[in-house]
Amino acid sequence: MAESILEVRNLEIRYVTDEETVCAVNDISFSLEKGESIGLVGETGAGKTTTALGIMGLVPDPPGEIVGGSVLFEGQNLLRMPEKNLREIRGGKISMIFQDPMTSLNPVMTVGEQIAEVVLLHSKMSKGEARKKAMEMLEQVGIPGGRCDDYPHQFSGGMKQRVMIAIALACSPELLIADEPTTALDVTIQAQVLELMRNLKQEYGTSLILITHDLGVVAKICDKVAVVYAGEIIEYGTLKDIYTDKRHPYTIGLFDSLPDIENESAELKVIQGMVPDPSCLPEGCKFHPRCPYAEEGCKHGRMEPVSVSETHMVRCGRFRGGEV
Amino acid sequence: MLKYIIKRLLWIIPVLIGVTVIVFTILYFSPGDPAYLALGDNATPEAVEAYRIEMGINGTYWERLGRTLMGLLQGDLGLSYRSRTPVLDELIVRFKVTFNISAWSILLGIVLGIFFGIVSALKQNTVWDSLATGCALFGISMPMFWQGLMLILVFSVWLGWLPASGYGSSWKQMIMPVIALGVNSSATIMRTTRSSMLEVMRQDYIRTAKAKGQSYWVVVLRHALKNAMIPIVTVIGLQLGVLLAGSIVTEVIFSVAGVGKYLVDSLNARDYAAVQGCVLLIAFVSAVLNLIVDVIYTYIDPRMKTMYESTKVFSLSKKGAKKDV
Repeated sequence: MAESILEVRNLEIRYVTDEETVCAVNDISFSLEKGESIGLVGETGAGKTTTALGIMGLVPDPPGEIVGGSVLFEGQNLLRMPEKNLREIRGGKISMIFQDPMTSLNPVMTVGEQIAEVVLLHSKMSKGEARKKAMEMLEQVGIPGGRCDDYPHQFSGGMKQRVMIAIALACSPELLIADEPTTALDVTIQAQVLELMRNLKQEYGTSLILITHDLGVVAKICDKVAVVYAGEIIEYGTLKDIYTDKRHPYTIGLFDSLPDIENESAELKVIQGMVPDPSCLPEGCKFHPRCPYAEEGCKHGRMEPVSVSETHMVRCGRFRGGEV
Repeated sequence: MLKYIIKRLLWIIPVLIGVTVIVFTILYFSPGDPAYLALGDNATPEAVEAYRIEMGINGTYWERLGRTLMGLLQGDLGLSYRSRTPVLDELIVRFKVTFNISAWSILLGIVLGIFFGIVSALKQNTVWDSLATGCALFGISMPMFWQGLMLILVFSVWLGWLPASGYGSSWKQMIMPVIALGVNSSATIMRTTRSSMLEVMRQDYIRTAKAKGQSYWVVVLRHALKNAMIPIVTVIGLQLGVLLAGSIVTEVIFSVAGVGKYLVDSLNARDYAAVQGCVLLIAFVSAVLNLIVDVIYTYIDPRMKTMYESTKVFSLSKKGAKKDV
């Protein structure tokens, strides 16, 4: 554990408005070692993005509020850190690629300026050097460096996402958070972007948190997987644990709902019901209203995580008391 | 870009001709004979006729319209019926005054409006926000002439700090006209800045800028304000038009010898040549201001620039095609 670069402990984030309180992140804990990558998988609205913003310290406040827990980055609690120190880490040591490349770049600044900005903030380079660095970064993500004076509207969606990646990697961060980096892109570009991220990760030894609902993407890049449901990690383990030895009924349902290419006639399996409304979560296990194995015991009390093996954790009543 | 500007400048000519025809026609059919007004009711028909020839207001509607338009093309706006001096000379002197007051007013409007707009947006739903929006509502709702009169009442009559009227002998005379004219614009600009900033601050690219570790104020001023400026510039452009209209009211209230007051005085004296000149000048100025605003757009929003330059790309490709042939 000495190599652990990030430890998230019992993170709880809420969005409080006059009408309601949305419990976006309820109890998320995971750790990440240097050079390792973890996939946060889950449905839309499960709290994956909020978790990432919580780590970055960018939860919109108001209405967002970090209620409890800690985020230890290289041993320091980011949640207690003064804003000034936090700014040095943001973009420098931890950087983030956002979900929608179309809107995440400033439309009135050239992409070169936007890459150079982060370089200027976190290194002692002069403006000229930063510009050179920006061109280098563009080349690295496969965009001709000469385009650094172009504006975002002159780029395609895939290229914008590459620019975002160039910004995120410009300062060689220790930790990269990629929030659905490929969701807004078409399949061929998706493959390119993933390949790019994997290569750059290997080159710089960056740790990665990959947020996605695409299980295929996770299988391609990640070492560990955390399945997030209603703001909780309901199953957590190595790639192998989750893909070959899944335990939680939700995880099983999630994998079952992938279309099977060999069995065309079969109807697509779906998980019954809807994701619970995070403003009024069910008591007990948050999955019990949709769970085919739900028992009376699932409806009350707090569902604590159960260890299946040293690397594999599941939050389900069926595995309570060692009956694995 | 230069081509675009030249094209737009050339477009001003037909606009001015159109404005002249309309204004001339309205004035031609409006009651009251300038010759009798100038010479008195007892003037002899010969004297009236001589006056008309001297002023160039003899002949039929078409003859006079033709003469007016020909004069316009030669930069001649005719003679003022009252002073028998060229209208253009009178206008140039007065335009400097109006320009001075309007420029300071719009500057006041922009500075106050943008500053309080940003404060109000960043401190949304706080006391500062309510205070700023409340003041803006007051500024927008109160008619300009009332504001002017209240200013005179408070600062000239009660407090005696500022002179109530006049222009040119002291900078103090400018303060109240500038405030009366600028407050209205600043209120409008403030409200646009507020809503525009609120909108922009929620955009994803602001989050990106924060994620880079950029400090709050740099995010606000460099990333947010520049994007928020796009609608603000539109409103400033519209306010320039309002300002020109407002200067008429303000100049009359504070008896400032500018274009606005000249226009009203000329109307009262049936000095139609002068009226026509004033309207033309105002039309010309607003056309130029609109052009300037449009050019400023392209500097703020690079997406606009590509729009204007698309014609250039087209002509270049045509040239290229010819070469290939």
